[in-house]
Amino acid sequence: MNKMKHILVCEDNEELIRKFSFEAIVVKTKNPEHVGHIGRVVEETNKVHCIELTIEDNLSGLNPLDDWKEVPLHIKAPRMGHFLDFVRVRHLLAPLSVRVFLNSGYEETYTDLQLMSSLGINCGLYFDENPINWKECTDLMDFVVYPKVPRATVEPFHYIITEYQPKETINFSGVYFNNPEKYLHIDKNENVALTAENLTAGKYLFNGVEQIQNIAENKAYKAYFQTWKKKFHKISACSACPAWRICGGFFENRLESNPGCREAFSELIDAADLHYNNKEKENEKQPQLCQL
Amino acid sequence: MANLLITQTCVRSCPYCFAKKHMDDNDREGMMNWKDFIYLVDFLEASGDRHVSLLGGEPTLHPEFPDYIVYLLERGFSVNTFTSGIMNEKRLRRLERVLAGANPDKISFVVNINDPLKSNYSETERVKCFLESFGHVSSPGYNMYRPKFEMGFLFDYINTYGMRKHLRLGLTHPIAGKKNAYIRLPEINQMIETLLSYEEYFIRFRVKAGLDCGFPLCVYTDEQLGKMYKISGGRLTFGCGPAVDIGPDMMVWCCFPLSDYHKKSIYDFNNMQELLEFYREKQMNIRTEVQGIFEECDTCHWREENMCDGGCLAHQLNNFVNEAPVRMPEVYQV
Repeated sequence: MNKMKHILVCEDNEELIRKFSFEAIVVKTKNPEHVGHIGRVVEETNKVHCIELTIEDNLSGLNPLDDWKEVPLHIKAPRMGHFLDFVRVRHLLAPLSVRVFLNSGYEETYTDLQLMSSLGINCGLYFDENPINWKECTDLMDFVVYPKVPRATVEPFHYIITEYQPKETINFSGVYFNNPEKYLHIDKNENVALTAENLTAGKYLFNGVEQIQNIAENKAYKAYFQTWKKKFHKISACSACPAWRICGGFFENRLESNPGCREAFSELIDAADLHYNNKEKENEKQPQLCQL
Repeated sequence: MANLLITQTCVRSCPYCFAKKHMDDNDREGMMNWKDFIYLVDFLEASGDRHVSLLGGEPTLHPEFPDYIVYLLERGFSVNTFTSGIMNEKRLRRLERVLAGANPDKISFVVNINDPLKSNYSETERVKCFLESFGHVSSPGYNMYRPKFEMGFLFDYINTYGMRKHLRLGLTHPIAGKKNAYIRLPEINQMIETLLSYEEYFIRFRVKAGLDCGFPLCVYTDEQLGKMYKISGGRLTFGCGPAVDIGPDMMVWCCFPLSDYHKKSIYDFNNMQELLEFYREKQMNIRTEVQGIFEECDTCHWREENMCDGGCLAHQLNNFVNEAPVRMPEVYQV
């Protein structure tokens, strides 16, 4: 068992999963029919943290299965698809412990997430190489952080708002099981990496799952947590950005090709601050008179 | 219940149209988009309101109209749509398919029906097609814009298409600053006589008359009041309050005849209560200046007792359009 209590993010591979015991595990799969089965395999000697199902078709074409009820589920779909078809899927998703992520690269995604949230489906954006429409993204943030009525959550904005502390940083990669402080990524050859990107790029920490329990001693692992400091060795858009505390340079690679994150996240940090202060006020103890 | 205008274009051009000025002055292509629609549904829900009316123009022209209805139903709203019932076969079949399993207690249509003898043939046939599909969740609406009119066909429609036995009757009002066909004050009595000449129809077919706003109490004789009480099922009021219409551009106004009177952005209000309070106050300001549509309103016992609001405010404002500005400024904000 890993002493650091990392949650292990694995491929959909039974042989690999059976090598672990007493671990919390995220399994990534692309096979909807495998969700229930792989969940049961994990539960034999481990604990399912979540199953991440990536589908290529629109969410509205999905056919949720009965055995999905047993597992916490993340669904990554490119788009929501036609609204009336989504309504059918919505009724099937409603009893599940599910969060749906849509691709931020499509114009309609931002409105579709409003629709889904207002109809009670927890959801979120996922980011890939597609450009982000920052204006739409800001509108979606406003929708999330200034709700008129109770709604389902939209990530990563909900996470940022609720986890925000005025003097601490937030790493919202955790929403995507990609925060190295909490998650480790492992492929079928037992290569272990800090992030999903590192795993894909072959930047491994080590090979062999038995080494996970000693990860605290691993040099590459320890070094990783010092890398953020390097961003402040020179003046850059991120190092001078007031919103760095809540994004941690998440969009650094697209600053030139797809600018706009600074304005959007600056607005979000203001909202998070307001939300935090309101919560603090609510928690303030009111002076009470003695009971007569 | 607020009225959401999801389109600003219509398939008809009725001579009495009270939305005419609004549509002439605004972008006819303007349609309500999803994001604004969601905002408005949230706004209504936050106000504790679970009923909504969809209007236009012709709301069924909106490409997402069936989706909007389904969305509202999914949010637990009941939806009433004001329509002409005129739509092409393709749209009608799609609407039929989408609403096939919908709870009939949650959806309704008020179909504005004009006299078939004064309408063109294809229009009338399209309305009939709509009623064949949706008659059971529809009630007819009729706007009285002439002192003499024929309305026997409405009872025919109710019986033929199994429509709900409630007839919404609108009294057409002037649109301040615009020319439209409407009932002049001296013509109201004759209009009531015409309406009550159908009393037997109302009773025999068990149809209830639902009078729209703007009818003052004193235009009826006591005998007429008794008859009206009966055919309206005892629901007889003589008010004129804000109906609240919200356009695709998120502007809000009191009602169509007063569509330019203190038009505001919906974002100026936190909820419906605030909005209604705002327009009630504006209406009070006018009524401080002029009590009602007749001179006698100033000293009327029934108005003082709040049994009557003194008739339609648009009638009152219309009187001021061409006069020198000697009254409170609010009165001229048309």
